[in-house]
Amino acid sequence: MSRGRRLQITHKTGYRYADVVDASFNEVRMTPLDSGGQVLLSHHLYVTPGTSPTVYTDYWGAFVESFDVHVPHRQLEIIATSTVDTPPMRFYGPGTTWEKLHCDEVRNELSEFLVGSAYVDDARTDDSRALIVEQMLASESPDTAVRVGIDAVRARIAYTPGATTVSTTARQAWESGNGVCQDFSHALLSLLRASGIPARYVSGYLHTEEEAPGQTVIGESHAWVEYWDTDWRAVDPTNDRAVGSAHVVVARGRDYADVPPLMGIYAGGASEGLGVSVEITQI
Amino acid sequence: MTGAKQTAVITPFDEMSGEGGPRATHAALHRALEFVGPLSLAERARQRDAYLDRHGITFTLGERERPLPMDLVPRLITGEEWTRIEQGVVQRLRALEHFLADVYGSGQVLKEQIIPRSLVTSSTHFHRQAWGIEPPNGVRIHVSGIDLIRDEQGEFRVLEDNLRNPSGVSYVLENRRTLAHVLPEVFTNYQVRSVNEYPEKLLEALRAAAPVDVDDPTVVILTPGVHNSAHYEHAFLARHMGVELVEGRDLYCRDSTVYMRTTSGPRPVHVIYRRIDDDFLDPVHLRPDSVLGVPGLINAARAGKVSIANAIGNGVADDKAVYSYVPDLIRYYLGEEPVLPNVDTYDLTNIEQREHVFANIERMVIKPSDGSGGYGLVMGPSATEREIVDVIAAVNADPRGWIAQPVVTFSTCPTVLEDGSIEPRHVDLRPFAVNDGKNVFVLPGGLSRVALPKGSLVVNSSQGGGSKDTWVLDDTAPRSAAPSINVPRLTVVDTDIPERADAPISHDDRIVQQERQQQQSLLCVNQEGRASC
Repeated sequence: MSRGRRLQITHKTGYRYADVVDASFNEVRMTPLDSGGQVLLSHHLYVTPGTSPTVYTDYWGAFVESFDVHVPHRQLEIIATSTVDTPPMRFYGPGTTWEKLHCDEVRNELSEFLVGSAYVDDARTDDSRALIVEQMLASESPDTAVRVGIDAVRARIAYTPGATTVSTTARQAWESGNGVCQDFSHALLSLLRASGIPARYVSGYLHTEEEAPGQTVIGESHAWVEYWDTDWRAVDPTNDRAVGSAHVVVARGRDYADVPPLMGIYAGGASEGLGVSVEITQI
Repeated sequence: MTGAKQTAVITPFDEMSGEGGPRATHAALHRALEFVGPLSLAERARQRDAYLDRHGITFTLGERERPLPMDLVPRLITGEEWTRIEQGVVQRLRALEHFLADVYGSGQVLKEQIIPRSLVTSSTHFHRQAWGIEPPNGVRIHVSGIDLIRDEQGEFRVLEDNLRNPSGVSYVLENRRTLAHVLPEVFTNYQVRSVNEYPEKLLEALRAAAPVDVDDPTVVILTPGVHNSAHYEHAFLARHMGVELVEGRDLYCRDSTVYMRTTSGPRPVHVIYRRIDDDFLDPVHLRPDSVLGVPGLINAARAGKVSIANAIGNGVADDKAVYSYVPDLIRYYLGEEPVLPNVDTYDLTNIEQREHVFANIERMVIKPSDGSGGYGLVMGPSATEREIVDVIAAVNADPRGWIAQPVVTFSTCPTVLEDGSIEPRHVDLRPFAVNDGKNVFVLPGGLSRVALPKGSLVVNSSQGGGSKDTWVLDDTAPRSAAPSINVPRLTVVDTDIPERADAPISHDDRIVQQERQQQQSLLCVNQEGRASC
């Protein structure tokens, strides 16, 4: 449990188009970060039809691969392979007090993670979340408030694949009571920020809980949350398990809008997703 | 009139006359206007309208295209006054260039807490997509129009910075030509500095902005199209610089290079002087529904293959809440004291300042912090009760979205009314500046906008204001006895009209779809029975 892991990740994404597409512009955020104890050993992106991506680092520190395709095509396939060493699980010391968290300096320096964002509204704008925010603020310390928030999200939202879409907001997920990791994370972000706890969205991959050396397992794109309590501390509201060597960090931002694994536009008719698969091998 | 609200007790600065009649610099102008007389002035005004109409010099206001009302009385600025304006504008732009490079780069100014980080990150026009893009010659503010006013003491102050797409420079050139045509008498006894070199200076600056390895760059002007209120100006500048006027559909990106479709095939483009707003520039990163821009443009700029003038995200520096910090930015980056002072500005996120503004609202002007063109502005002295209630509610709902300033009584200049008589009207001044990376050129003249209704302080052309030919007097030139009419000669260069071939990405007839992968995996059939995602 306390060791890190070496993981090889293969992330495949495909699209099939109703008409021939002859111009498509895309950005991919699928490269694991090389920081915070996580070490990126290798990364390759394969795109069919063939193209040569350019790489840059965005405002949030993520590695972005950008490419356009001008060959007429009816299908687009993207395969990202990475090998990464994850750090062992961190044990966090005692957290700070409300007074130290609710100070002007934190409010100014971390304001991007305290105010609303594309997917995350102010939780105090609906009664049921406002009540939880009240309970959180009545907790003795910020880290106990985070616990209250996670419990509330898990009590409210049932893990239901397919119930929500990529554009579902925190409010919508809360109202519907169903969702996946993205929705759990957005809902928790809304509660934390409304309580004055800076919080950000993390996008990445999740390996199995137990070590599985030599085996290729079906993994997932995953999302979880980090909150600021003298330093950034990670929590996984979807699984309610510690964030450690099974979690691979790809990008961080205010919410999903800052870190989409794939975004792009193309000219042509409707598209059909050919699905996404993530395979992870511990080596 | 005894029941009228007693608010405007401050006397504005009268630019033409002091205590003892016309100021020395204005004496000859005063005589010339008296000589022409009111009847004749009314006739000249009709000639002016016919002239503007014939030359198609129009401004679209609402649904209507109309001539930009140019007043027949020129506005005079002495050489000494101009030197100060020039120094102040150049100084301000140098500091603002540093600031933009900083917030879209290392963020030193935020780390040192010269300006609150939260103020920058909450600006509507802080475009994180532009972070890390380094312009080849370091310039982001290729063209600016910093609005100045003269306060009650006659001192020039900065009212607001316009660093995105300031328009109006074509009227500076056209006004000079028009006035010389319809009222040549007033030029007698004045040496007026020419404004004609603007297109040449702009083209030089745009060429200097080109990617480093390009010797003979291709420059284009990107316009949103004929329906834009400033389309006349886009066409004017393209004609006088001899460059192509294009729309988004005339351009396309391929592997980080931008091409223009022409009758003789695709041609690489190196510098885009764009006159469309940031949000519409590139549907990949900004508004996905935009059909005005060019997909892939931002990453082409990031790759250093094309330069965008003005740069994306400049609006963070002309945000009206950031404006209050510009004097501090000048001290921080340049180690100088500001040459041109600001107007006092209240931070409405501060509760005490907000209360003060609300308590004195009849002496305040309230402005949206991300706005331009006078849209959304509420003038306390003239607003209705309803407008006051609404703006207070809007400020309380979003204090960061608004700023307040005490109403400054702009200076007045004599202005011709419909019947040919002359009365003072309030004016401001927008000097245009062009940065080529080595020098900042401030066009000697600029656009004086005049609030035509009596007592009005709103001069924006989008709010029905007019303009004045603005003369910077050349004090160094010898005075000649003979009338020296400085009639502008403008060069017109014929250009090829770009072909609108059926585009690979034609926004008209094909759907531009946006695809976004859902985090939840569609193939994620869980064989081990473990909770997924």
